[in-house]
Formats: sequence, structure tokens, C-alpha cells
Amino acid sequence: MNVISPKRLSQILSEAEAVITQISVTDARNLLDDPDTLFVDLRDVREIERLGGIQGAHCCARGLLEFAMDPESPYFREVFTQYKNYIFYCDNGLRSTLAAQLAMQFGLQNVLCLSGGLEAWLEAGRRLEPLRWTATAD
Amino acid sequence: MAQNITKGVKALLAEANETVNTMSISEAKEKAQDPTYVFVDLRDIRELQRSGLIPGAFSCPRGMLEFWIDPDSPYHKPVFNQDKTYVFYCASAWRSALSAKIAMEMGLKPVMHLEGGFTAWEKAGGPIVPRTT
Repeated sequence: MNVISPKRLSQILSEAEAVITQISVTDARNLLDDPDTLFVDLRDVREIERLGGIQGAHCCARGLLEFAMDPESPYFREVFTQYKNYIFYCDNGLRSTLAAQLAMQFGLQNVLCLSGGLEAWLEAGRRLEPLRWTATAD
Repeated sequence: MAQNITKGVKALLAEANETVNTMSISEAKEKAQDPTYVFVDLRDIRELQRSGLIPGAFSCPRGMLEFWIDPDSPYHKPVFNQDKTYVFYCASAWRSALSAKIAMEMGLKPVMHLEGGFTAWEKAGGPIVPRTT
């Protein structure tokens, strides 16, 4: 039996939106070739294989994120210590909003959430490239 | 090193395991076919394709969880709106602990997670079906 009052998704999202920083498609586009910035694709493998993603992005499904960020975890990925800025994205900016909040809680610095996600990226006439899914799950 | 991670999964897991109840593999073997229980597989599709899943389990990739639980979400799945007991599992009961905690916070109840996850299920000779869809 839960003693806390249930949390709606809208509340979860608005709490995350209050603390994260968004980046527009235009500004994100300007960081595509920045060697200090890593784009992180949080979608699942099927979505990535179907549509592709942003050129050079690192694929880390949202469901694996905590385990990929923690250096003590057996699933740790070094990319989460190697860059100065991280741009998280998904299809529409919702999963990336929650993921950016989580990453901030983990202490990752300069995490930005791509506003509107890939839908906004495509609307702005940006292209997607084939991406390679990074397998890691145990 | 450009980054310094300060919070770890160990602490998160300890926190989750304080509030989330576990179901043993032997109990799960009895309940897996019980219509008042819903087994939820949180692993990603590749893992399911590779190893199969518990018969009757519902596949919900962990990254979609909150979006599928909330009845007001455009992505809501009615499977999460039943008067049943939810048993979450993943490969080794880490993702399931964190997920069950969030589901409980969102009001889903009762929610448990499978002790040792699919790895323990497999080791104990639990039935497995291939992923079909």
C-alpha cells in the first residue's frame, strides 16, 4: 500500500523541465562538429534502426542510462566522462527531458535536452544518418 | 577527466530495494500463469530476441515505462490499468528495482520485482517462450 500520493506523468515531466536546460535545433546544429560535445540518442534499437539519428550520436537507451553513467557499474561507458557537453535527444523530447534530469542528479555537467527532439530536428530540415546501436545490455 | 559522476547506481538500488518487494523465483513459477498477475519484461528488444521471455509476459522497454503507465499519457497502455499484481523483471533485477519504485510512485499497485531477474529464472529452469512479435 502506497502512502504517497500518485505522481502523474505531467508532474514528473514538469519537475524535470524546471531543472534541465533545453537547446534549440539551430543551436544544437552548430555543435555537431564540436569535439567537446556528444549527442546521446536515448531511443530503443528499433526506433534507431528504422529512422537513423543524428550524425555521430552515441546510442544509449534510456533504460540503461544509470548503469552506463556510473563508473562503478559493470556497464559503465567511458563516453560519459570524456566530453564537456552532452546533448540528449529522443523522438519528441520527452524521454530526453527525464534522462537529462537523471544525468544531472548523477553529477554529469552541461547536459542539454534537444527541444522537440528528432521531430523538431526533421521539421527544421535537418537530416538523419544511419546510426549504429551500441549493444551493452547483459 | 572532463566529468565527475557523484551519484551511483549502488545507492539508487539500495534506495529502491528498501521500498520494493521481491518475488522469489519459486513463487513466480506458480504465479506466471495466474491471470491476476501481470509479468512485465523491461529489457530491450535485442535481449528478448536473444533469450526469449517468461510465457505471458508483457514487453515494456524500460525507457517507455512512465509514458505507458499514466492513463493520461498519449502513449498509455491499458495493460497498466488493471486490478492485478504487477511483477517487473529485467536481466538481473537492477532495472526492475528502479522501475518498480517509479511505478509505485506513480500509483501502480501492487508492484513487485522478480528476485534475480530473468537470469535467475533461466537458471532455475523456468519456462521460456521465444519472442514472437
